[in-house]
Amino acid sequence: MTNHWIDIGNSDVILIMGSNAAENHPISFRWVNRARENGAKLISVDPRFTRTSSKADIYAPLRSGTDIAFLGGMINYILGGIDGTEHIQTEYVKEYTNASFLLNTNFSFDDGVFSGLTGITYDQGAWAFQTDEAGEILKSVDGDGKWSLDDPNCVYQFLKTHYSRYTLEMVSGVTGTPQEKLLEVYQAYVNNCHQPDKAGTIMYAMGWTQHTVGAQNIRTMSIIQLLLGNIGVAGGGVNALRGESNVQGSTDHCLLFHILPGYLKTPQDIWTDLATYNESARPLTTGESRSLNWWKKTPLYMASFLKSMYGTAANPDNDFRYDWLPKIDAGVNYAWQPLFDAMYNGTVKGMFAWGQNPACSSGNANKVRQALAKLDWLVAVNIFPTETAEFWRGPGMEPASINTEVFQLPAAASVEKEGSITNSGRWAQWRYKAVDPPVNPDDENQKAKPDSEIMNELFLAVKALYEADGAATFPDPILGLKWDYFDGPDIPSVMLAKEINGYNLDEVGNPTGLVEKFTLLAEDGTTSSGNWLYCQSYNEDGNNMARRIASDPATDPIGLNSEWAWCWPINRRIIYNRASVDVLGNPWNESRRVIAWTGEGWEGDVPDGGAVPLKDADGNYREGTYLPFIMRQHGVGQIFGPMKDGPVPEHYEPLESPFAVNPMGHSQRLNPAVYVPPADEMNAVASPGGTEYPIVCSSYRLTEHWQTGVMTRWAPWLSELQPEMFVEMSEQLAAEKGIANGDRVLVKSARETDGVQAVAIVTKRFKPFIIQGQTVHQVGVPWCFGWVAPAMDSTRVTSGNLLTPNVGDPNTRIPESKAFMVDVVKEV
Amino acid sequence: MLLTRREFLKTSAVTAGVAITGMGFALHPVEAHAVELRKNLEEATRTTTICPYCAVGCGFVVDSAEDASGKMVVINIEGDSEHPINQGTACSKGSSLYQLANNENRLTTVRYRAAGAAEWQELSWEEAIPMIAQRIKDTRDATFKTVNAAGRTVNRTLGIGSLGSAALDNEECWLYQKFLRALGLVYIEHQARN
Amino acid sequence: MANGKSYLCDTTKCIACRSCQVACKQWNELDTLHTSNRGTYENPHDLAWCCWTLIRFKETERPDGTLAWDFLRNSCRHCMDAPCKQATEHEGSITIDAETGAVIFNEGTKDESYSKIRLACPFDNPRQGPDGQLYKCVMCYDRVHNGELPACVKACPTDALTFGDRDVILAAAEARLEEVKADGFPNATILDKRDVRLLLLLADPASYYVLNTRDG
Repeated sequence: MTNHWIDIGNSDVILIMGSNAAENHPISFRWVNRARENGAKLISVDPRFTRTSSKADIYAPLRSGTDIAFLGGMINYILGGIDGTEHIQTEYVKEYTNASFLLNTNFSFDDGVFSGLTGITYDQGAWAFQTDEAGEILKSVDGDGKWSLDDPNCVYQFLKTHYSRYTLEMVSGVTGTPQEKLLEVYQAYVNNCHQPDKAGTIMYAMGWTQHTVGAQNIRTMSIIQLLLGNIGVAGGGVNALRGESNVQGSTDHCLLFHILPGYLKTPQDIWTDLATYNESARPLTTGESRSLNWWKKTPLYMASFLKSMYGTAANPDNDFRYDWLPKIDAGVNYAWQPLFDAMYNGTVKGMFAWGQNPACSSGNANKVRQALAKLDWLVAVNIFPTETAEFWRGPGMEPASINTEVFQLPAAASVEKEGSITNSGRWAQWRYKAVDPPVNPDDENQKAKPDSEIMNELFLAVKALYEADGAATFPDPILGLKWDYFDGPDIPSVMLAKEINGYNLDEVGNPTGLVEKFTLLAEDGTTSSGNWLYCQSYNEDGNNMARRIASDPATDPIGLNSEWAWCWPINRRIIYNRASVDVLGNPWNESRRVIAWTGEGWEGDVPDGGAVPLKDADGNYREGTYLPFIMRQHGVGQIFGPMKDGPVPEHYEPLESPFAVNPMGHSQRLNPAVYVPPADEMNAVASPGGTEYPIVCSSYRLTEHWQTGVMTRWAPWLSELQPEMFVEMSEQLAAEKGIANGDRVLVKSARETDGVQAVAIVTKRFKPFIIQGQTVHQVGVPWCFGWVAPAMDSTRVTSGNLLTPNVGDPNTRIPESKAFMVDVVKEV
Repeated sequence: MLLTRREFLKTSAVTAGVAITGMGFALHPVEAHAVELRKNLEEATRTTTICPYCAVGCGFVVDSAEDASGKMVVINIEGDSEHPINQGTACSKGSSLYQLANNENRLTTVRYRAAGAAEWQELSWEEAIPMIAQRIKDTRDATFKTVNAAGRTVNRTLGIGSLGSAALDNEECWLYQKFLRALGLVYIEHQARN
Repeated sequence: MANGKSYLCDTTKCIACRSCQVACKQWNELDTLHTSNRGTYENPHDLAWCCWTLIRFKETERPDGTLAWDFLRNSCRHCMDAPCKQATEHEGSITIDAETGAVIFNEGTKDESYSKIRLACPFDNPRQGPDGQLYKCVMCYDRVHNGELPACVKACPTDALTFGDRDVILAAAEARLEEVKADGFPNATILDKRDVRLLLLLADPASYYVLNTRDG
């Protein structure tokens, strides 16, 4: 979230699309209601009428996988292509975005493809802006030299042209949403938040990300929010409702192949030393002289990270042991999909599944289960039994033929240990230990342990083996790792929290105190910081993440709660907040002020970068100040922004869809940058427009269960509420199929041809779409069920992800589990 | 944040009742003790926590007390009225947190499934950790590459992968990535991509 | 007792997260029923000795073509003049808490006729446990006496459930009713407000909701 949960209450209009917030983030509705009490409109756009839709002022259905078409129409409306009136926040768009930047004249979009495509790979250089001899980007300017939107080669004019194709008729012909409903949504959203003092927000989740156009779904909304001046302001932003308690923190600490803690790029083979890394892993030049380009500080953060990793072994004269870090091959992807392919083909032989249940959570879970069976060993760490740890006796598996050794280690639950987690609004909050982890009642030596204690025991055991083996392969990073914790029986989470924050170091590398904030980190080895983003989370005067001062609405009307816990970066509660003020530093809306310029400094939230306003009190542009979007290379919001699959979004059909051609009328059916692996027996794909699997399906979660249900299915009170797998379908489809409400049915896809067993919920909340003159049915399945709990029964084929494909977005590689094709038959 | 309930109530209960309902909720806890709470929270130890389910980050208060054997057990978990996001409220998952702490299906035993076996067998922690460590070393040593096909330094193993975990605390995430990257893993993934 | 306490259940704010259902079980330490999916989100299929609060789901198409998915809390309404108590044959089996007005089933209900007590309830709430005792919502009167909100009310994330002095709740209910009427639901109503302590504010016609009544 650029903003945070409480801030939703500041909105004038709320769009919930790509998420089902009432269902999956019920407490968010406390703040949705707060906004509504103040007159905000609530809009729900979803293929299915949901618990969220039940409370909305406007509900609009759309076919799964057509969000870009839906929102592309909204962009067209904003730009005047539908009612002839532009509905943009003009000053914001001109001053704070790249709308005025000039595109090269050879840039093109032709028959569904942008310039620069070879195979499935775009050359992003083909989308570069025009520059002068000094490398400064050329802009559309008016007679006074101010940025304008008029030059035919500027981004704004390209945007107008590109989205002029997204007429109500065209969009409706893609999405299945009635034209009058489209217009109603566009008007309700845009007309309530394009004014400078109004704010609209978007609440989205995996309903947008889990598509072959997932990242571009979010880009489309980001463009809308920039055009409407909604980013940086209270009640605005682009807000991903994250689904796991610490998926934000685990992403910040980068348990991911492509990034190191604090979103530093993972070293590649071609970056052969630290100097090369520091030159290559960040933008060096910006093309915009007023851009602060925050990532230029990468070398400070990298040196501090390496000091935290390798301690006194890391010094300037040995590149801080940069060579000890594992490197990826440039251009090769090591994400979830390729990982399981590598496991399936035998490259990956050992595996940790630490607090995750891929046998149910992964797209194409059948292939995942077969891949697990090819491992030599699997270590699973959990608080309850899972389908992953038990995969060898799951549905259709023959234990005798599976040679994987499995270790199941029992872990402590959240109330049995101490530490911090980071919520979707970037608040790192400390939690305390209440009781010891459980002990086996029959054997007091058997007990669950905190994860950090398990990691410690494992690492020390591995290290001992390497110490004992003089001929071991490259033991240096293991033997040299800074691992100096745990000198007593208690696990000192606080010690780790301080290491993440970082220390000032003396000349021999001993800590002299905690670094106060990341602006004080150094490149020369005099500071450590495990994660620069978390620098300031733990200061000499205490643990900021443990703060418990909720603010008084009288003095904090927008609910920043700046002294409750701590939030990254540097306790800034609303990111890009320097766009919440005009060029003089005055809030667009004084009553919802995030920051304001007093003439001498900023007051309010921690300002983004802290530079003075763009103009002085006399209205003249200042020298030496910075544009508000400090994390972006050019310092401005990127209406035109390079992604792997294009600089602006275009509607493409999902990998599996009811249409063999793109209803947009060009010949590019599928996102051209998507990698589709060769189809094999474990990776089948339904043919577009085919008759075998004619029904659109989406997967989703339920209020009563969490993710694969591997914690909640074990909670009897929750399993009482949602006991078993179901599929929701319209009354019309049920009638066609001879299915009655409550019948047992099978849901089949190209990857699960025998079918997933489910109870039919026949509902008015799904309605067939009429698209391109054809009836398109849609159904939906939850993915929170399995066969281990609430009762062990390997005859139950009930996981929704057995149906989903594992092909996904070219930017993120997240699989397309929100739009795929199935058939439904009554179980006989 | 170890408070007795009485200390906690000084700040939370009275204000919570009034602030949340705005409905003139006006019983005075100090005076009204004719009816006892069905759970003896008076004697309980109170700690605060954050919900382990979704990423709203709701605050909860955990009351713990000694059971008959003298072991501290959780006796009640409900919303933290001081927490600015959830203000004492919860969803159905949050309201069920008690059953995470008190659940007969919780894993408490190290289990090992041998190649080809149809059942689990029990191992002690002291047996399991060296067994796992040996497998890590064997696989790492057999698959470790100091240089790739292009002859460039990579110092990595593609033979071991890791999945997880958005369920860990930040401090554990940091420690876990440190452990994995020291071993040379690049196949590191978690729930953000799934 | 002055006027005791009351709840307002404002269905316009309910998102059917069923936190109330679980919070009730958590505080009152209630057992779990083995359930199945019957083609609806609603579960268990009925109130039970260990299910004192149940959210009912119903889908109805409104005349204007929009869909209503209405959620309604089923639980003891805590009658001002409780017919269940009038139907007792043993002193003290059902009592009215002096402070709050809560209708409380005591251990002595074991000796009452289950069918007679259940039939006496206009809202069909009492259920018999395996121990023979009759059970239903008790307004968490132990919590209320100790300055805490009933567990369900405290847990409700959207303030669909509120609780307080009866006079205050009645006034708030009337004010909210006017808001809801002005917000496009001219036929909104508050059910049984003079007779019970759990007030139900409905936006849509009563037929759009699953009401718990003796007549089914």
